[in-house]
Amino acid sequence: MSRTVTLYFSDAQAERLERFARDHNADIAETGVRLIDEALRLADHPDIEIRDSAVGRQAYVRGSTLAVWEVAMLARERQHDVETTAAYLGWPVARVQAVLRYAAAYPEEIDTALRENETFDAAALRRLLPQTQVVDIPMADSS
Amino acid sequence: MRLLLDEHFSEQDAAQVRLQVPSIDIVSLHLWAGGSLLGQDDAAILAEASQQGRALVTRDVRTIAPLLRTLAESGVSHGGVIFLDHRAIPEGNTGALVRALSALWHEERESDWTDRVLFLQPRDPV
Repeated sequence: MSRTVTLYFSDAQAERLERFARDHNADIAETGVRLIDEALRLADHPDIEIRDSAVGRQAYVRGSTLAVWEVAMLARERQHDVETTAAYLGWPVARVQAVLRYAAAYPEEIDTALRENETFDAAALRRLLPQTQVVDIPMADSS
Repeated sequence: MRLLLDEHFSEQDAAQVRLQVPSIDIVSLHLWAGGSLLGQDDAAILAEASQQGRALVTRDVRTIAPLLRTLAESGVSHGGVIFLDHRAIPEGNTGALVRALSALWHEERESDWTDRVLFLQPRDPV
């Protein structure tokens, strides 16, 4: 479902929006909707910011290089134990909680990113970067 | 061979590798340059790592691999990237990573890592 909402921009704002859309090879209406959606997300989740990346705009932890899905990956590996995840990263527990709140609010976005990362095996990587050297590592005696 | 651990690794992981190989030059992004690069985008991290001759060790194949492709198409070099298959860290256990980096250092410490890409994957199914 979608709804039509009429918004009025100043000339300067409209020009900036057009430029942003051009820079991202996107339609101006689609860009406007996306940016408003991002602003609403950030209002609800002040510890998150949306940045450009090689795979498009994605949610990152403010003041960190980590995308939200990376923190979700670490938490999942620790059975969603927030304190253990925070200790591993050397972060305050509240910061991890804030990131996981965003992940819980947008599960499809985060699950898709996790799935995409996990499906990158050696063959997929070589298709993208043919020079990739594959090294097998022994898993026995994990400690 | 100088290594930079991505931020999704703990500083403890870097310490564990140093424990195995005291002479290795490895640092985590948490502490690198006093943490001043936290919050920078991946391209900036790779550029700074390249300037310092460090290879980035990362589990983020999804974002970094397409970035490397873009850099290559633009003729921009990097200091090397070591990707880690997600299956190599079962339940958050980084023991295999520590051993793999230690072994890699013994074999490749004198190698030129410019523009090299490695993918570390588990030998045995886990």
